[in-house]
Amino acid sequence: MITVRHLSKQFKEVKALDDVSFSVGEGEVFGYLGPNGSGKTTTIRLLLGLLKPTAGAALLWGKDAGSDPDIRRRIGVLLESDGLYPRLSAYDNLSYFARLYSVRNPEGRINSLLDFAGLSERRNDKIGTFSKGMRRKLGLVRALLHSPDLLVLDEPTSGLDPEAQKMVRDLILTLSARSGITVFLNSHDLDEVQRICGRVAILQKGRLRALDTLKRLQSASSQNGVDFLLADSSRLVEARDVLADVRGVEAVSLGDNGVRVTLGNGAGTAELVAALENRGIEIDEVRKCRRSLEEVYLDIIRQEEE
Amino acid sequence: MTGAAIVFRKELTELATTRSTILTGIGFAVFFGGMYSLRVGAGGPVPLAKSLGSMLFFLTSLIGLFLGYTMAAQVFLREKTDAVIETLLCAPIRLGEIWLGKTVAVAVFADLFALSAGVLMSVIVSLRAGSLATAPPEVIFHVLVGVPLLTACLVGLLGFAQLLLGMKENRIIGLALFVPIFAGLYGLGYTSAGAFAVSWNKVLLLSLVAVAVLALLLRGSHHISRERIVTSLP
Repeated sequence: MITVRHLSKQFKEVKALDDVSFSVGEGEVFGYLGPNGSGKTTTIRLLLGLLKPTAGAALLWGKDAGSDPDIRRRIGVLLESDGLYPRLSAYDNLSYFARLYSVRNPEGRINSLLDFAGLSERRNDKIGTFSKGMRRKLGLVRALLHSPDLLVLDEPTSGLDPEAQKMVRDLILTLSARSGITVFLNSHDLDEVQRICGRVAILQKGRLRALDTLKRLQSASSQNGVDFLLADSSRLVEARDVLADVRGVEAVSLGDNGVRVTLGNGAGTAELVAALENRGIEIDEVRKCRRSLEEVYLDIIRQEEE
Repeated sequence: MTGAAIVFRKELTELATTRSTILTGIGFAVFFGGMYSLRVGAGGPVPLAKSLGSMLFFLTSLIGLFLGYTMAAQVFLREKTDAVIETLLCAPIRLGEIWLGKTVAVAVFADLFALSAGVLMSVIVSLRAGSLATAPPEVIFHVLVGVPLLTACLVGLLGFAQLLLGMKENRIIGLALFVPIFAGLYGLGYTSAGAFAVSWNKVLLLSLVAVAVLALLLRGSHHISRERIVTSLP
């Protein structure tokens, strides 16, 4: 569905994107990450046909979205700005875009989406009077109005309260699972990406630094670690000291309700469990430590900077 | 409904609900309609119909062009100031259709006031004369067809220039397009009340030139670069 091949974009002396290649399949929820100025927005603009590549290609269904209005009809976008006219009402905004996208039965579609977003009561209010979160929600409604096959989202939950953030996340997952919609998600919220994306790409200084499934990225960069969750949190410090004395343990750190152990060569989980049990420290759960996306992301970014 | 018609409808709605625009239009129509009506018949022994005709020609042209000029900037820059342009460019609509919809909306809206000013002036002149004063048919053609086309031509030129520059308002270009036309028409109208002969040849030529320019602009507007607009966004 999305094919990016050796894509480069140069703005005068600045190389915003340098030989980036990846593809996204149908029904996938794809996370696109990177620090500010890494080239994420440029990639999105190239995909949407708003910019022309200096080299390579950014294609949707094998075509350039910029020159094909029929391809653009299949895409829903929520970019950095909400894409709404502040002097028009919520209904008039949606009605305008519904006409542009030739939505069938626009009245019914608008009403059901406004209901879904909890904005029915504000349908006749001008967007200028809406809070940032409400505008963001309505922007998402606008992007979904024509039931697109591909949803391009740039920080979709920015400015939303936790409840609304959850609503958006659930919606994305539902759309992907039930309707087979493909989602290209650009976000700084790594927790959000971790919850909803199957695959991620990490971009830095215009170059692709990582591209894989979340699981593989997390496993590949994980150290050999084990988390111990204790029944009695008052014995955390004691447990840390016990574990630190076990042969082969490289490091021990305290968490909220447990201890994280980094193992060196020759050490095994069984010895650690035995050491704690010998001291009468009750263990609730032992699990192999998997690093969060945030840790993986920061590692990749720092490695490249070094 | 085509893309241009959708944009036209939306722009007309926005113009019609903007209080300052309506007040400006009404103010212009009433002030200039009233003022110019006093000049009808003031140019010596010229027949009333001819005097009214030449004044109608100038009045409606001036109001249409001036209001078109003032509205063009806000209408063509609206998407950029409202941060909607990127989203709009992602929609299945061509830049040429956006240009056309906006141009026609501004021209129609500005001409409503130009027409109102013309009607007001004719009513005042008729009341003063004690009988119904009518303008020659070539002037009526100009008011109904020529003025909308000329206004669309100026608005289209201004909008085209703004889109070409990446949705930037260039006041120098705007003034360079508007001032000569406005000054020429105003000067002619001021100095020759009743003496200027409006003929079919002149009004048809003006309309044809306007149509030709609009056709060229429409063709050119399909080739305006989206990249130039997007890269100029803050």
